[in-house]
Amino acid sequence: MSLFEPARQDPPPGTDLHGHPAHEPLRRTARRLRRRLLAVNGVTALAVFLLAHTAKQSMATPLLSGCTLGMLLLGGQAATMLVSAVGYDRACAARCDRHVDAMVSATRQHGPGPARP
Amino acid sequence: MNDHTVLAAGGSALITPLTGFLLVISLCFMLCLIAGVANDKVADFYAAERSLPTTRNALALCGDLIPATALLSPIGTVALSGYDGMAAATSASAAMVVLLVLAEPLRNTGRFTLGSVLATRTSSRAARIAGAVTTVAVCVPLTVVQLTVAGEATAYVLGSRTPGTALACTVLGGLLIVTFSAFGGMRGTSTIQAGKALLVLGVVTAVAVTATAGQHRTLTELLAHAAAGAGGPRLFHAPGLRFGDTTTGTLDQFSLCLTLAVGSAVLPPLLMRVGASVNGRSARRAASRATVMITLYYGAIVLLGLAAAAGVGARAITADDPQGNSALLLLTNALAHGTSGRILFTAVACAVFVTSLASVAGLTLAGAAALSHDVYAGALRRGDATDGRELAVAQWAIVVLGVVSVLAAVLLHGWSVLFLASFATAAAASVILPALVYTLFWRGFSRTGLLWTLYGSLTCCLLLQVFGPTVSGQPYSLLPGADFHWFPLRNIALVTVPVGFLLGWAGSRLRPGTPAERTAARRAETTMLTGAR
Repeated sequence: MSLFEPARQDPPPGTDLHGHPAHEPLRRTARRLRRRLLAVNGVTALAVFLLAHTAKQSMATPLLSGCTLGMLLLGGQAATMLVSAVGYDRACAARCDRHVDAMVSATRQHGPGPARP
Repeated sequence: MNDHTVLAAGGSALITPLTGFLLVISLCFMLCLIAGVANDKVADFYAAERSLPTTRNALALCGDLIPATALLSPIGTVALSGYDGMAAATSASAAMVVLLVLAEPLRNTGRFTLGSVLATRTSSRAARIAGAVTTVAVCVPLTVVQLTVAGEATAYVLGSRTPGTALACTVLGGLLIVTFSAFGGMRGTSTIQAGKALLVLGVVTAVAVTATAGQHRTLTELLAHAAAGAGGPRLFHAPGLRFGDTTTGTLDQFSLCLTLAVGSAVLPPLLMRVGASVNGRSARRAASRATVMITLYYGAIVLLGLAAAAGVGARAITADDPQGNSALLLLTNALAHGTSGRILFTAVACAVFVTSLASVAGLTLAGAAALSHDVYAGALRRGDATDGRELAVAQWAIVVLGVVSVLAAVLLHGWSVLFLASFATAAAASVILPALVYTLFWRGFSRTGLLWTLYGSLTCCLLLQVFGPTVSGQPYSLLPGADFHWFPLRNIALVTVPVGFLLGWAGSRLRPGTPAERTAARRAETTMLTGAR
């Protein structure tokens, strides 16, 4: 079971990752990126829903190549999801992964540790 | 009776569709057996040794998010309800955004069952058992729904609509699928899921291209024809056709969108899938790529729904199946004729069967993992179980869960299973999501808060579902002749999701964690951020 229940180990002296200088910046950055992703998508979805259900008949208005306003709004919501998802992954790669690498290096330098993430 | 059936009628030369269908079934079984040969350790069986590359895991994630109900039902919903169906499809694709947020910290815990993830911050057996109970409560109803849909769809493509045929297909299909997952494990189900995703995406694209190009329609004509058969463009392209243009209808639509967006994201097979990634970054990237694939998939589904409304008509779809689940098959029938028509129909039939197979396999594997890993090995044996023993328990658990699900599907044959699908997805949204979010991201979450969320929210879901319109009081209810419902909404997530979060918060505030739990939470937070232990 050890592969799936990683044994809790006391970290080697001097490697309390919670106190590592990169820990807090990593935590804040990850939280900010998560909140941004959820906020963008949540606000978009809510806005589309509220608009659709307050101006119902307007949703059936044909606009572009026969596509109605409602379809265009839903298409915009889908496009927002796509762009924000790809952007989130890239932002995490650019801003969070280097902090993770720094912290993982710290565990390695202080002796045999558990398997690399 | 449909024009194209897999079984030939009257000794004609139409044996190719049957041959193709049987070939696909045999291929799936072979793949599972080959993939499952290496499953002699728990690490292989549950998580494929965490060796699945990013793109393959992305495809498998995509596959996990497309059960049979997500292949058949949305097309019918768009064809019959227009805008409301499109909004539901958009919400379903939003589930990947929710999973994207959870994927990396979830994988970094190093665990793959719900119970073991929830026990990250507390070593209590109660957390593991509660996680296992929740997993089984979600997986078994969904398995029953998938088996029922698969049995009816298989009977349809075999050309027989008698109840006995559908029942036989449900039983035989279910037993076959249970065998697949008992042998194949995570490696086998991942292979099937990835192959299924490719097959479904290919088939959906092929049917969409045939539907739009073959009838030489512009988008404007397609939308106009689609609306014509469903009450006109003012009704079809405006919200309110599905649940009614009332306050209750609006709330039901919102609740459905919420259920699809957050409930689908945290189903137990998906959590196990994330656990099979190489590392946290790989899980995040797989989720990001799956988001793109799923969004494109639902775009094609919307197109197919519109094509079904235009080419088949809402009246014909409803006459065949009031829920619209046969819309894809009716559309395929209507589109092409001759050899190409048979090939297309066979491909669709294979896609439906493989979709059901993979979904049921994933659900039974997740349920069995919870029972063997969390209950048997974690809670009862307190971590002191050999790989061989745990593996044996897992395989028996798959058989037991599969047989129970098949029996339940037989008992409920001919009855509406809408309440099961609604309950399971709402339970995932209201029980699993709050527990996971608080475990992964809130330092102040305590053992009491966890247990209140899991059991309290599950009870709330059960009560509202039983006393809602999906069980009694409506023509689509499980018991249409009885009426004891007092909760007005078909989709309960609007109430139960906030209740789940509230219970977790209240329990944690009233009984904060012990100092040991707080230390564990601090350490767990670092682990979830970095994957380092």
